[in-house]
Amino acid sequence: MTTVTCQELPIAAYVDGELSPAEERTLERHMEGCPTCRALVADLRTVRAAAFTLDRLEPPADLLARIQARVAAEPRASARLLAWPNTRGAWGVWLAAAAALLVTTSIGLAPLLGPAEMPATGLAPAADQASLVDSVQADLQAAEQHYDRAIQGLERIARSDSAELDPQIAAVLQKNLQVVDQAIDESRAALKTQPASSTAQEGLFEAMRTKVALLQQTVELINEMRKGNQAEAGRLMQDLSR
Amino acid sequence: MIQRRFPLSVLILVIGAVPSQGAMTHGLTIPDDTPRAAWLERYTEARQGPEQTDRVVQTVRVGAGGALDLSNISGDVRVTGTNASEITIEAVKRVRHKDADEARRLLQQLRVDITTVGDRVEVRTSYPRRSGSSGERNISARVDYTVSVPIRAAVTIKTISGDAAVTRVDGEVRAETVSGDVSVTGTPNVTSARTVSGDVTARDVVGTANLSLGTVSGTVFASGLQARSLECGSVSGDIRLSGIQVDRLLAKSVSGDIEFGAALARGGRYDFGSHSGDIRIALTSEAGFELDASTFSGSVRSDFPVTLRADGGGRQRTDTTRTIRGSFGDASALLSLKTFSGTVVISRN
Amino acid sequence: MSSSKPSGEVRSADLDLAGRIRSGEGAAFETLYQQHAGRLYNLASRMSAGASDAEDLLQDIFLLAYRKVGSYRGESSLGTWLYRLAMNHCLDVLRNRQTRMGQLTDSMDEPEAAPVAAPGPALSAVSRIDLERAIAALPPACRAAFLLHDVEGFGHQEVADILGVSEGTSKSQVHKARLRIRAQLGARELKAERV
Repeated sequence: MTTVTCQELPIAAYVDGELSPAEERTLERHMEGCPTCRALVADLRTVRAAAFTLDRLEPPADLLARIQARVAAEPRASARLLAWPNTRGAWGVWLAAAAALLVTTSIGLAPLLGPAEMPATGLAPAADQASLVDSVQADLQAAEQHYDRAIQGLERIARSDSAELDPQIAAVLQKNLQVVDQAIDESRAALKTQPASSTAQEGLFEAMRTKVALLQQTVELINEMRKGNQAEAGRLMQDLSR
Repeated sequence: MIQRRFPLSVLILVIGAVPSQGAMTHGLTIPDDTPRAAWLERYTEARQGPEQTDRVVQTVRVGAGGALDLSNISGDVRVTGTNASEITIEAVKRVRHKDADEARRLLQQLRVDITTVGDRVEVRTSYPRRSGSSGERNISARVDYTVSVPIRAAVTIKTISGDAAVTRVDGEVRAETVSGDVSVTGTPNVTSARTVSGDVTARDVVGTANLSLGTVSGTVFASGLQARSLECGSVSGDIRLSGIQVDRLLAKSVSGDIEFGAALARGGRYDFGSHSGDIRIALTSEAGFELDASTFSGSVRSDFPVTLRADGGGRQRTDTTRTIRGSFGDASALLSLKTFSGTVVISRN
Repeated sequence: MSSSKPSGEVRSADLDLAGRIRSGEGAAFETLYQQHAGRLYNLASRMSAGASDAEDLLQDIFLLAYRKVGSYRGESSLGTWLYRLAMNHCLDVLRNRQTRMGQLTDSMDEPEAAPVAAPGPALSAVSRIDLERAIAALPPACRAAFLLHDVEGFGHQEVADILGVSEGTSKSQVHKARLRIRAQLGARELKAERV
């Protein structure tokens, strides 16, 4: 039975251990005669304790590398805004759009962060009146280059270590990578004929995203296999030392 | 790198191919009297030696919060929910080796480790140390698991080469394999079902919050499904969704087709994307939606009369055989269909 | 996050790190990540649908941090600044999702009618899965406060700083969360007994 008195009690503060000793005594005297409050306090303590012992989840080991790759792919908008004041117009919008296309992908790579690694985007200073389409092209090229480097990095790992994979699986992944490559080639060809087509652009970036994701999956599988092999090697060492 | 391994891969394809042939398999011991199966058995026995098996059964009593965490390498895993308050694990170990003594030794070393922590049962398969050179992959050893769990248990299963199937389990379910099929049926809280080379099938899944179904080269099937959000993807396989009720859907393939036959939810968001595959939407209700459908070299067709949206940018006249952007009815749901060279069809069912 | 160093010293170290991140120093960014990624990942995961969402959210959070680090002026610690950014992002994502699906969102500062404490059997051991589920059923703002205080161990003042509310609001939100969790877990227990 919940009474008005119970409602007014500083139960929450009591559970958090924030009452003065006098206030605690008052509450405890009440609880001696009130099973409802006793049960409530016990339960709240249980919930709090259980919350503190929940599983500690670990972010994947390569997440930092992926974030760094995305950060490296950020357009140096601030730098441009300083150097070329009239980029705030439509051009600025296209910059944001190109960046947005990249932002939704996770790229797994060794850390890229550092000014030396930033690719030259070939954008001329504002004094050069490049047309809107040209500057969009340049930004898209920059985005493509970033994907390409991500893909190359992952491909290198996938190729050199694919021995860790079961050959049947390696074959499936290889075949599907070819499917994605074909999609990339078709989109690129389409963009050449219609550079302003948003459908072709989206097609290209979607295909590149898929390729990166597939390569990442391959690399993760390789790592898992390697871990399994290492575990076995570990056991081998244990057996030998017995 | 892969080319050099090809001769070995023939053998592996022969052995490894069997588990992923759809329905429940127990490796080569399924009574299958097709000539091919008989040939397979003789070939395998000649090449690898006779099969030796060993069966392990263990039962663990668990409470309502029971959980199964099973990790396998080669072999099928089948989990079913029951009314009992215990987890029963039946593991059949199978090893092939030309040398019978070596086979027996390998069988002994092929361990099934079952650990219980509170209500959580962990099952791990560990492979024997190969004697001699490490040249040949240990493909001649497998463990097939048949597990029954309390209906309310949570289940996580992983295997690498083999099928994974979970039926009638109410707790959270995650099922993963690399080379094999994954199938979940009557699992209202399945959150993830994934494979690389194989199909993913989800049936009668009512109530899960967020669900992810993924394969690389296989097909994703989902029917009788109700979830808050569904994400499904394949690279070269199709996606076939029917009788599903979701608020948020993301379906992507590269070369596969996507088929969707269901009703849209008010305020729902449905994203379909493919590169060369077709996208076929058959709507079973008259719910309003906002439509953004485009293809680069294919065609777009809609049975629904769509009020075309004025294109804000005005950069290019939209070719309505390749792009439709507009709304139908009260435009409450969002429907986005994008393909590069495929065809988009939106029809009434 | 609460440090034993005098606050002046902490702030200048924070400002230094922020400055180095802003100028593109990879090591500085990595330091920030190593310090906070674990906890943020746990928060993101429980604020959203689970692991895959958490990875995306964590990437978003650190990317946002990189973009906005220029606006960090040392008013709070860099950690508080980062957690504030992170929780705001998680709440935005969560609310967008709920708004899209027509559900009502709760507000942090609405006047509270404390939910009546349900009399009933005391909870026995709480299963982790049940607790995770109960947390996932909490309304966003409530969940945020509970995760920060009871799961991650921040104090009420820190929670208030991070969420931009008063300390009193933090206390009442955490209390409300515990009551709701208790009600949900209690209901499950009753169901179990009847089985």
